[in-house]
Amino acid sequence: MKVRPTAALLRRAFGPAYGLLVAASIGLSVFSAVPPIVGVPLAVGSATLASLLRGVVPRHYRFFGLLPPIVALGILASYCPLGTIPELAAGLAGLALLLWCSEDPDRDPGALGRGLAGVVVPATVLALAWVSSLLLPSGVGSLGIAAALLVACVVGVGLLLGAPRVFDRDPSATS
Amino acid sequence: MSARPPTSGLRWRPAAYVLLGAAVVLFGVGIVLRSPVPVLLAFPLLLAPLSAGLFGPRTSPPVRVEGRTDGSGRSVRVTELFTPEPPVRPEALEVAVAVPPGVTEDRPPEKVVRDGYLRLTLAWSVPDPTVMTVPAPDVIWRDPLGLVERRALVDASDLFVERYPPELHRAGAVRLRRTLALPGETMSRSVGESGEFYGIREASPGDPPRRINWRATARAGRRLVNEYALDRTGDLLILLDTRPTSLGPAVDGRLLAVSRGAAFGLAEAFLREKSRVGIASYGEFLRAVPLATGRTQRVRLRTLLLETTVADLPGPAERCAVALRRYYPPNTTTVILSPLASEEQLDLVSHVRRRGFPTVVLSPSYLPMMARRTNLVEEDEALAARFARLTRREEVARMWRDAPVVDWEDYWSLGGFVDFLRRPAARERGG
Repeated sequence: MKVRPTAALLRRAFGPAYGLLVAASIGLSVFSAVPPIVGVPLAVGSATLASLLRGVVPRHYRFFGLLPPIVALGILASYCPLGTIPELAAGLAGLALLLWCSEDPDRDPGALGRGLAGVVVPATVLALAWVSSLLLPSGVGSLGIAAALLVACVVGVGLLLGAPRVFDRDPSATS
Repeated sequence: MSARPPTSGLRWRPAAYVLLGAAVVLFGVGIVLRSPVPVLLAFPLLLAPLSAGLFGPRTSPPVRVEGRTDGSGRSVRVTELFTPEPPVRPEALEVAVAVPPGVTEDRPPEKVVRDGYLRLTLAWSVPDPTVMTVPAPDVIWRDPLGLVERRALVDASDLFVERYPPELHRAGAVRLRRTLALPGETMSRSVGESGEFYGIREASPGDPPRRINWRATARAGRRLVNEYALDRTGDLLILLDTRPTSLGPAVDGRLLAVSRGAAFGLAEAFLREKSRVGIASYGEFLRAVPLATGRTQRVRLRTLLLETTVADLPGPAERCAVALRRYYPPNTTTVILSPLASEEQLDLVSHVRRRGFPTVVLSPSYLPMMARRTNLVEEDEALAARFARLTRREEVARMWRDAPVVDWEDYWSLGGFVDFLRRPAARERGG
């Protein structure tokens, strides 16, 4: 079935999650060292481009829509000064991006509400990490933690992508 | 019931790869810049795919599918209800049904989620009469963020689309040639004017006076007439010629689909009357379902028709005629469904008839399926169409020497054919 960029499709592509992503990106750009004249258009433009891409391109290529906000958020986060509030803003932007993922144009209305269930775990871990960062001394210590996390996640991601059956469970004999 | 497929594992969707890759890059950026902000941004991106895999169903979720096909004529409406087993919610299911070849989609599938089930409504159009299976739905569970997915275990019954000209409903009333030693031993389901006494009913204006039961009328004080259970009169063999012709695989395939629809309609009409019906298809070799009646026979016949395809190589006509005698008694009324588009197909009728099968040919014409030639101007195109029509008429006329032939051009109407079958004198020319 061909997907055409109809008005209804675009309306669903620009749902509440789009607004959330724009707000979170603008929030991050406020704390960023990037000048607002560049940061705000970058935040709004990337989110808009992402939603447009998702509404227009065929279903199989919709994941490309993730790239603009990731790049934009990455740039804004890189230029953020050290501090707990920018860290929180970055984490919230990441969560907003996940919620934006849930609002696929092909899915039924209310996808954002269901998507909230999908961000519970990332949000909890983010909250723990952020609270921990309040207690830990900034500098080399947190860098070491980040480096360890990087190595662990690279190894973990490699393992999981190579063996997605880790997530499977054998059906029981009575099922 | 379709067999349960083996469980399938978790699949990462492209968005998950993008998020995981982005998380790794952001972690790297954080380390290089000695800033925790990119690291905090990367946290949700890293954890979302992993938590989606961990907290979703750990095996393929079972989904029960109940469906039905409605509509009439060209329109086909397929409704399927998908009920997943809790805790999987119907909103998390992505369902797709492939449109069968030759079928057009009138409008996009309509998906409605209600309490505990998902209803999918498909609106299709079939261009010609046909018998086909609705493809099994592809059901996928997807996490709320759309990052991972798992193929569901679908428990579904097969759905069929059976479309044939409506006049075939009347074909069952045709009195077939007697092939039984004791033709009256099996009662038909039809109630008619002759045969074993069945019952009494109120007279209607069209009833002839000789059917009035005068004694019962006198007792009741109103006119009552007798009804009779008709005898089963004989057997019907439907033979499909599936040999390839010079028309090409596409036209051959479409003609076969039309023949399948007609064969199924005919078979169903006679089975309803408790007649014994058999279907054979002849491509390179003969495939036959012997004569029988009842619901199981209907399923057998439909299965054979669904499995019938255009053969790769044409078998000789004599082989078909010889093989038919192994499965069917002589003198069985035979309807041959053949486009009569090649010399081999023309030969088949005489061979079958010589082996003792009284034959009537129903020939779906290939003329409506012939593509217009784009390199011709309109006048030349009209001339070419006229030549093709004359050639066809000549072929059909030639066939009339061996057996009666009904040329079938309007695929949605078989009134002429049914009327022809109901005239025994004309039909007997094939005997």
